[in-house]
Amino acid sequence: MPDFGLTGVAVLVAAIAAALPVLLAAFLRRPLLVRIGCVLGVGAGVYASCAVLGLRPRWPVLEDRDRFLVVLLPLTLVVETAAVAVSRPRWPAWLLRLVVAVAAAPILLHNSVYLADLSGPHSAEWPPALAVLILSLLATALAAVWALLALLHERTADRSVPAVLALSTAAAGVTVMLSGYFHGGLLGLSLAAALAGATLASFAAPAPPSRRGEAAAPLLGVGMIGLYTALLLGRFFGSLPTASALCLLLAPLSPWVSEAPGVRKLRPGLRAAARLIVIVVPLILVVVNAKMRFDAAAASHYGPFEP
Amino acid sequence: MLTTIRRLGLAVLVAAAVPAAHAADTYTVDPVHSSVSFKISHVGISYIHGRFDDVGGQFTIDKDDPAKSSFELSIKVESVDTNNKLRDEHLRAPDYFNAKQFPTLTFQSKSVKPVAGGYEVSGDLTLHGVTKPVTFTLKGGDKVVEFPKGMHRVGFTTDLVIKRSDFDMKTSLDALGDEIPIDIGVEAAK
Repeated sequence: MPDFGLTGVAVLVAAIAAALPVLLAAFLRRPLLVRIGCVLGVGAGVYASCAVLGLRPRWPVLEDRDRFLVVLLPLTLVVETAAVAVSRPRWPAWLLRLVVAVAAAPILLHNSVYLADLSGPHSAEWPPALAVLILSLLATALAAVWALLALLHERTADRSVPAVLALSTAAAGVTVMLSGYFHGGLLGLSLAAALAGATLASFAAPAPPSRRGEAAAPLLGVGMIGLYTALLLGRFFGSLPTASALCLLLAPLSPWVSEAPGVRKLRPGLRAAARLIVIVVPLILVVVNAKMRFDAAAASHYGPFEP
Repeated sequence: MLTTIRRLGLAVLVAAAVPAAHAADTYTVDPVHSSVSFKISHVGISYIHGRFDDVGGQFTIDKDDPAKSSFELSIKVESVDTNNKLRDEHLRAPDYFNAKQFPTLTFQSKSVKPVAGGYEVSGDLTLHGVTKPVTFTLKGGDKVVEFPKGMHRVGFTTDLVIKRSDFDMKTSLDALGDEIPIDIGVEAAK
C-alpha cells in the first residue's frame, strides 16, 4: 500500500529544496546565479526528495533508476550549468544537449534484456540493428521535442513552458505509478515538484517584463530529461503502454497552439493561460485512462480487495 | 622380445583387473518435473504462495568423490506465478525483481559434502543483481531411476529461507515479509 503521507512530504521537500537556491540568488540580485540556481535547484530537489522516499541509488550502479540518479541527471545538470555559463555562442550548448539526448536511452537501458545478452548468447530482445534503430528514434524524438520547447519558450518569453513541463512530468509520474512501476512514478513526481518549485521561485528574480522567462529557461533541459526518463522507465521497465508514453512526451508541445495566427493577437497573459489549459486536457485524459485500466485490471483480479 | 611381450600382457591384465575410475554423471534439469515455490507473509497474518514456472540447470554427480559434484540452477524471473496476473506484473517490475534488468535467478554450487540422505551444498545465489552465499541440505540423489526407458533420472528436494532485503529487494517490507521460505523439488535426467 503506497504511503501517501510520505509521498506528500517528499513532493514538498523537492519543491522547497529546488526553490531555495533560486530564491537565494534572486535575493542577491544576480541574474546569472538565478539561472544556475534553477538548474542546481532541480537537482537538489530531486536528490532531497529521493532521500526522503528512501530511493537511494545502489552501488555499484545496476538499475535504471540508479543510472538516472548517478549518471544521467548529473550529466544533464553539468551540461545545463555550462550552457548558462557560456550563453554565447549557442551551438556548443546545443551540441552538448544533443550528446545528452543521444546518450539518455542507452544509459537508462544499459545492461537490460533489451540491449544485453543476459540469458545466453544472442538473447538480447533487440538485435544490434534493431537496437540502433530504436535508440536513434528515441534520441530523435527527445531532441525534437526539446528543441521545439526551447523555441516555444523563446517566443513566449514567460514561465508557462517550464510550468507545462512540470505538469506533464507530474502526469507521467502518476501514469507510470498506475502502470505497475510505483517507484519510477515517484521519481517522476519528485522531478515535477522540483521543476514547479524552481519555476515558482524564479518569479522572485528581478527582470523586465520582456525578459521574465529567461530566468527559468535553464529548467527546460532538466525538465525534458526528467519527463523522458519517467516515460522510458515506465514503458521499458514497467507496463506503460506505448500510446500513453508518446502522448505524454508530445503533450508539452500542445501549447504551440498559442502561436496560431488568431491566438497570437491575444494579450500575453491570456495566451499563457491558453497554453496551460491546452496542456491540462490531454494530461487529464491520459491519467484518467491509466486509472481506468488499473481499476479494471484490479477489479477483475481482486474484486473488492486491495492489490 | 618374448620378455617384452610377456610384460606388456601382464600390464594389460593388471589394468583390466583394477575397476575403472567412475566418471561423474552430468544431468540436465527436467523443467516439467521440477518446481521452485515460495511463500511470503502478507501483513503478518498469513502467507501468499507463488512459484517459478521456468526452471533449468545442470547437475554433475560424482558418487566416488562427492566433493567433485556440482549443482547449477537457473530460474527465469519472468515466469513468476502467484495466480494473479496484476500482482505478477508488479513483481516483475523494478519495485521487486526487475525482470528486464535481472532476468534470471541463479544458484552455482561451490562446495558439496556428502551427508546422511543427501548432500550439504554451499554456493552462490544471485538474485536481483546481488550474489550471496547460501548453504542447504539437498535430500535425495541416492537412487537413479530409468524413466522412460533409456533416460536416467535423479531427484532432489530441499528447502531454504532467504531474506529478500539481503538482495536489495526492500519494497513494502512493512506489509510483505522479509524472510522468504523457498521449497525446491527438482528432477534431472541424462
